[in-house]
Amino acid sequence: MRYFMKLSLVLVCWGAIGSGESVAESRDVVVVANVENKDIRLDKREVRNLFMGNTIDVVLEPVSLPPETLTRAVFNTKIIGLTESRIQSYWSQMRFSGRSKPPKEMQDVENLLAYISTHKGTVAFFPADVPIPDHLTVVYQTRQ
Amino acid sequence: MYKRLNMRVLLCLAAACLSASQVCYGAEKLEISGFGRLVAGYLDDNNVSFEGYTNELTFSEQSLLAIQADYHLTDTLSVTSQLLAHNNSERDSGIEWFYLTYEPNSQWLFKAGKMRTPFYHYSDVLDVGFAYAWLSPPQQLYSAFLFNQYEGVSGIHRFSLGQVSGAIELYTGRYNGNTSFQQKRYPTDIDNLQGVVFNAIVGNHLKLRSSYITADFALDLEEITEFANILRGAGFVQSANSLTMEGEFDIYQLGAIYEEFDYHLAWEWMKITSNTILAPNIASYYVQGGYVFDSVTAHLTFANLITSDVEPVNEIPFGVNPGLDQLFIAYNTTLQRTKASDLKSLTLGVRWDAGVNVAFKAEVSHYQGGVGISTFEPLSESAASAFDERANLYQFGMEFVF
Repeated sequence: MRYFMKLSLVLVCWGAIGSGESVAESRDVVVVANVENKDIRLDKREVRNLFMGNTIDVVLEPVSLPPETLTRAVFNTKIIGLTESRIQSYWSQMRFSGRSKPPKEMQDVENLLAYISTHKGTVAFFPADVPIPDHLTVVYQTRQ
Repeated sequence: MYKRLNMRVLLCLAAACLSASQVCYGAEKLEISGFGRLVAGYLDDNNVSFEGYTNELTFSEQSLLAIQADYHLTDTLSVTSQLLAHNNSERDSGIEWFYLTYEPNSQWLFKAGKMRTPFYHYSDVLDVGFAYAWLSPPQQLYSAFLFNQYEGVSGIHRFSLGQVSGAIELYTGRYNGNTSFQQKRYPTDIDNLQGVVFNAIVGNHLKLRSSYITADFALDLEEITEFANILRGAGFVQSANSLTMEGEFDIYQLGAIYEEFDYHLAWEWMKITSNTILAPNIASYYVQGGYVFDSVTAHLTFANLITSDVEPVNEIPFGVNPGLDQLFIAYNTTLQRTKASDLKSLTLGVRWDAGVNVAFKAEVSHYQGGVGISTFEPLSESAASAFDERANLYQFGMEFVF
């Protein structure tokens, strides 16, 4: 009996994890930059490289949301292509070998949008339904 | 002595960690971070030890605590220091990294000071268990070198070329310290250390790494050096020279990691060549596959180390007189005792990321290999012959970063 209780608990947990992933799958994000050139567009590989501390042709400073946010989970799933734990593992390697550091983090979408709006050369990701001010540029979006 | 010193450093670090959140985070110029690990291991064979593990459960081989301070002098200049407290008597606790960084822009990064040597993919973060899936990265690569630090300069250039985002690192320096193996420390000098590392990310999923390192090395093996001097005095200069741990080494490395959201595949290969008889040529590799279930990663690794045969100098005649026979036997016994051994292993492990900065791990490794300077060490003369060249290592542990 106890065995079946444990088994059903495990199944419920796995179900919850599965539904978490499907929530992330059903959401979209937009990647927004504060740049002079409004024609700049990035592809998924370039966005991924920017937020993983690698170099691309455009110089932009990435800014992120905290790990526990749904928007970040969507961004991880659809653009980075890694789970949050593997991203944290990667950044521990980069930080403690002196190669690079993770992007600066803002506590929520409002603060992130305020920061991006006032700092030239920054880039961040937002839920697709957040209104983006005209002076910012959408450089990539996950929805088709 | 070392244990007492380590305990003091450990207590200082713990105090620093506790006060870090109150003192330092407010100041933009100073960043405090750190990592630690608590690892228990047990070897199921009572004839040998392996990487310090025996058939008694111990937490002391790999457990450690480290704190890193980054102080930003200007927007482009910073100083980094990493203080590490280790519970292993073969390692010194103290300053592990201490370097100045100059980063004029996102393409260039220069460092000067005391740093970890970036031999392989995880060499410079070997103490940061949170950075990889294993508790013990494959010993065939990650224990098969003589030193892990250098004092010198390094320059990294990051670039983007089509679908490739890469970085090339050049470094040069020296190392003067001790090398520990088989419970003893030997004075070691590494000079003219020069290395190049090439890292690339191709597309969204493939990471490639290639490196080359060369250096002059001199290791004072004390009692072996004394015996070499006796041989030299007796006129057997070639035999004496063959027992000298001095010369040049070259290390070649290639690696690839393919990462998808729910699995990864990794491969890494290295080859060490040297012009001394006592330091054998070594080729090692591992292949790893991992499956990711949300915060749990299950992984399987096969690793192999192949050593070249040591060619003794056949200079001392045997059967001429008892004195020469003794020298002949002593010479060959010395070569036998210092030889390395091939080693194969299969490791099955699980990592559970319980939070964004804490992970729990468990793994079991099955090893096959003989007694050798970098593999199994017999606990007694009789144990050496009783050892069946197979052993299982069980480990579990906790990794954290802050």
